Amino acid sequence: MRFLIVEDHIGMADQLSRGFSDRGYSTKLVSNGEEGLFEAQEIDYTLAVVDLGLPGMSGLELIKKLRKAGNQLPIIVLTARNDVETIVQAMEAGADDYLKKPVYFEELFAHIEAVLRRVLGDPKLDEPVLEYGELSLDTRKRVVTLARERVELTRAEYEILEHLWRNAGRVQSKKTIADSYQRDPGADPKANSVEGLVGRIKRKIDPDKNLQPIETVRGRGYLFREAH
Amino acid sequence: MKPPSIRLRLLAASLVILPLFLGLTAWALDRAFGNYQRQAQQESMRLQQLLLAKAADWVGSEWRFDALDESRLSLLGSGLYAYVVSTQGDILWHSPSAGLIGDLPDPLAAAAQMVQSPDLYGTGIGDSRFEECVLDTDYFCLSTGVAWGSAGPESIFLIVESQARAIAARSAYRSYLLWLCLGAAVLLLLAQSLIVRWGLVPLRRIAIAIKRLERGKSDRLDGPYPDELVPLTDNINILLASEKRRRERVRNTMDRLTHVLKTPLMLIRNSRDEEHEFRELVQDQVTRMLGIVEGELAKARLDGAAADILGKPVPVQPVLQRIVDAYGRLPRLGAQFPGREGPDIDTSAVAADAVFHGEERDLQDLFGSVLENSLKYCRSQIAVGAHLTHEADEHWLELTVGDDGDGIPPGYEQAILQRGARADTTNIGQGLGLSIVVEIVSAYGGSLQVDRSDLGGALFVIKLPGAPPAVS
Repeated sequence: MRFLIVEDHIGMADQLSRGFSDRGYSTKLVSNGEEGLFEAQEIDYTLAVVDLGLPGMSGLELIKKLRKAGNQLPIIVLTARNDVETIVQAMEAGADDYLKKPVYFEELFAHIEAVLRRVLGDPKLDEPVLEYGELSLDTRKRVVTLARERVELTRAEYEILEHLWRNAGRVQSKKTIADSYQRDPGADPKANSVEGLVGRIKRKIDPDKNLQPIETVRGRGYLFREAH
Repeated sequence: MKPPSIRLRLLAASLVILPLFLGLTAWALDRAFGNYQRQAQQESMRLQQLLLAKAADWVGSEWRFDALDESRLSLLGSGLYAYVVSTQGDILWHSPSAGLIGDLPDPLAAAAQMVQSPDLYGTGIGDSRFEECVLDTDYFCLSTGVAWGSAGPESIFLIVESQARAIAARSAYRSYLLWLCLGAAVLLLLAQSLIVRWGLVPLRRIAIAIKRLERGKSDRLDGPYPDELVPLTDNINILLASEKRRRERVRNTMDRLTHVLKTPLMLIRNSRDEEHEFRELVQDQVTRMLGIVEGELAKARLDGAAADILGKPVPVQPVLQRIVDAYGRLPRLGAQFPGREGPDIDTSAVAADAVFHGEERDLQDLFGSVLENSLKYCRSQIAVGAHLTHEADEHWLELTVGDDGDGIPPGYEQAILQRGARADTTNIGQGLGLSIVVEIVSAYGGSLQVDRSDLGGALFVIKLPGAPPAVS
């Protein structure tokens, strides 16, 4: 899962980014509405956290433009204002939820979970441990085990696996997968390609090819099979 | 661009309207004088005609006039001439005065030509005609058809009199009228200027009173003022009183903030730097300070409400529906609500005629905060109501929000209305919403009660004054 944070206050943005990173999520941080709009339109993020009081293009304008363009990215707005009118305006513009500043991380994540549950209808989001036969993935510890033996994955490999797993039963395009993880800096670009990474994940989590949880769908991308 | 002064506006309007009004009056008077002159002329000439008839006699085959009473008929070129004309248009007799008419070389020939007009010789027996006619210049002509008994012929007695005297009198009258109108215009302008000056005295008094306010010598506009200005001065006094209250509140807020924030800050400063305990202490005190700041900000925002007591009442239904639509789309926190659908919010009990006498934003914050609370604690149903009631000779707007949650635990009804206090600790939040509701309700002189809803959960009943505040 990858989150977009649009926040102009440097301290607040760093704190948010750190909070996501502490929980093992990758984020993209931008400080104004124009960049936020570009990112949201170009990259397939799981959810965006948007501050309403942005310089230049406001958070409200950003949401309106995204929705007008047909973009359904789940959005949680942050507002320093306490009035109901601001919230109503944000919801009317197309936001999915709001939070008043100061933001507590537990509160923010409770809202993110609620929004993703409602918008994506993904019941797996609350399951801390995902299982497929002898294979399991603990989202809290960010650990993958096969027959109780730990499987060593790089950060990018783990993020791709979690993304595919959380979207089990739905084919994920290479672009969507590429957008879902943060590339390891300094890695060989070829080795860092989606094909290369998925291939390595397959070999690591299913060396004997007994389970075959990840299926390559020709011309469309990859599919994590649903557990029976 | 600065708008012109009231005095200049009235003067400009007078300069346009006054000439129109006076011009129309002068035209009507001139016309009336002209008509009177014509009638008087006709009467005078009829008298001449009667005198002529009195002197006339038909002797043999000709008209004889022994003695003419009017001397002007005997005086050559006097401007008054008399003729007797046959029914065929031939002049049978003329007065001695008609022997010389202005510069005409042949006055009789000119008169003969004039009487050829059908208007004159076509006059029937007993009929009279009064016309304008021309000889050497403009004249009035009065012709009357007569039958001189059994002996005399049917003839026309014609009196012709110059218009010179009438024209001179009309010119003199017009000159008099012009000066009269000019004099009246000047007097009216002067009078109007004085009236405007007198009429604007109360406004000047208000301006002086405002200057006194600016200098701090007074804190309100003291009357008496004319009835037309009382709403203005009353509203200014309300704004001044509101502004004064706002200043006092800001001062009180600052005093309170300084006082209440100092304690947690001192606690943090004086604590020993023991990592875990220090962190906990900082966390607790910062949370407390945030609560204080948020609560005070909510209070401070309410100070703006006074200006809107002058505005129109706010229809409640559209405001509530808009908030219900927006909040109804919010996701529900907690794994116990896995579905995509939010709770069912029933607004059928919101009366269409319910109005709120205050600021729309306050109604939004009031209702939004209560609804937000119910959304947090309901299972699947919320019922919203609004209607006007009449109790103890007073009108009230009653807002109700009920839900099907667990309700408020007994004994917590008052506690949840205090800032930062919450009946449960399972939901994450700052516990500020209902305290803001209390602040708004108090500012409007209303009440908030917590009860049990028919749906099984909590019921919030808010009563707000249903009529605008009295202007005093």
